[in-house]
Amino acid sequence: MASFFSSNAVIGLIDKNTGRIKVEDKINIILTPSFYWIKRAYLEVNFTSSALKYAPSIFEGMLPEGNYSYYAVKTKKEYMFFAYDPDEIISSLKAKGITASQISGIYFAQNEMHNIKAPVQCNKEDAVVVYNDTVLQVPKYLVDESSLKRNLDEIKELSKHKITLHKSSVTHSIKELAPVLSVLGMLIVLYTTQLFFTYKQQQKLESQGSVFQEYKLPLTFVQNSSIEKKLRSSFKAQTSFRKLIFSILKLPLSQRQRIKSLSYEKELFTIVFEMQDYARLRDIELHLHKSLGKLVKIDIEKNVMRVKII
Amino acid sequence: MIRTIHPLYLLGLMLALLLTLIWQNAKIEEEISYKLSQRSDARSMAKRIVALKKVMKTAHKGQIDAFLDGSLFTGADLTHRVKSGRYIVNAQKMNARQLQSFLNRILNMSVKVVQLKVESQNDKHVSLYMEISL
Repeated sequence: MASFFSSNAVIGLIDKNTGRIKVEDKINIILTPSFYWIKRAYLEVNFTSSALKYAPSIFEGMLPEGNYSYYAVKTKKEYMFFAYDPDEIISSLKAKGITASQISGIYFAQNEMHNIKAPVQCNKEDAVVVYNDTVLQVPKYLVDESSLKRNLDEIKELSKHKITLHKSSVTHSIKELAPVLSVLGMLIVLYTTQLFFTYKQQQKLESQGSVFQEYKLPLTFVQNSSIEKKLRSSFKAQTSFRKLIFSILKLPLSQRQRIKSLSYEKELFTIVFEMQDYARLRDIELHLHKSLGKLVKIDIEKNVMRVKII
Repeated sequence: MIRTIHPLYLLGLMLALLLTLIWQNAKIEEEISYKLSQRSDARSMAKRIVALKKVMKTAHKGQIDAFLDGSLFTGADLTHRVKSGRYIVNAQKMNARQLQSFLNRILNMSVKVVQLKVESQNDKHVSLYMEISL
């Protein structure tokens, strides 16, 4: 049976009666008519996908019991419908030792072999022939044995009509992917739980009232920022005023030094001294700077000292 | 016809779902963190404002009236009147100690001094003019 394959063994004609196959590399499988049913129909639809919807009714009543999948190919005048049982194909391929990872593509003989010139042997008893544009599987004794071929050399290129047996891939790959899928599943459960709690936390946070409301303050950040700024500036001004006035009252004046008047308006103190020795005002300036630092700016003009609160 | 989902599609779907969950989680957590930080900032600001208000709490009118009406400064001729929401205080013959005590007490009431004028009358006494607002 291995004789059906070319030397590269990339295309294989598989029949229900094919024995076990040893595949080294990937394989393109051509299924003999024993795996599928075919029917031609003329439909007033433009697309294959639309035509495919009619497939179950087209085959209704003519298929043996089973779970069928359908495939349609558009020809010039009509649609060609295929009905196949993926489970049957899967189990058959498994029995022949072909794994899903080894399969490059699965094709119907109808689509790949309709141009063959000579009959091709597909098992010990049968051969595949073309009759009225239809690929048929017939007993070998019905064909001329001298022209019977045992390989698929005539098929140079495969069509685009590849079918997929999802179930096959699942049954095969699910085992390989099971650990990854279960880890992913666990992570999904974990993150969903986390998301649930995070969402709850967010809702709880949103339901809480404004912090400013707790302190009986205006609701917005901008308003409070402005209030704080105003309070700070007022606090600084008052503190500076107090510090300055107490510093003035505690000035270490000499016996001859006396303050004639002290006035304050618009953040400016004016101190008028009664004294002859103006130079000694510098000592007082120094004292004020020492006790008040950068809070004040001092100007001296003769016996008048102007202290500005900065 | 698709009979059942292909495991690779399933894997892709699960991965997409997981990534969406991770992304969504991260997004909400970021929002929570931002909101918490905002609330924390707001709380600090509110506390600062409350503390400042407490420090700067001006004495009420009654307290100032009581202080200015009382004959606390013997010998000093202290009068006051209220004009346009401001207290105008006049004092004559105040000695240095009385002046210091007066200023100390009135300033501790956290009033805002608008204008102040102190003039020497003789070696021992001064006159005082003060405008304060609450």
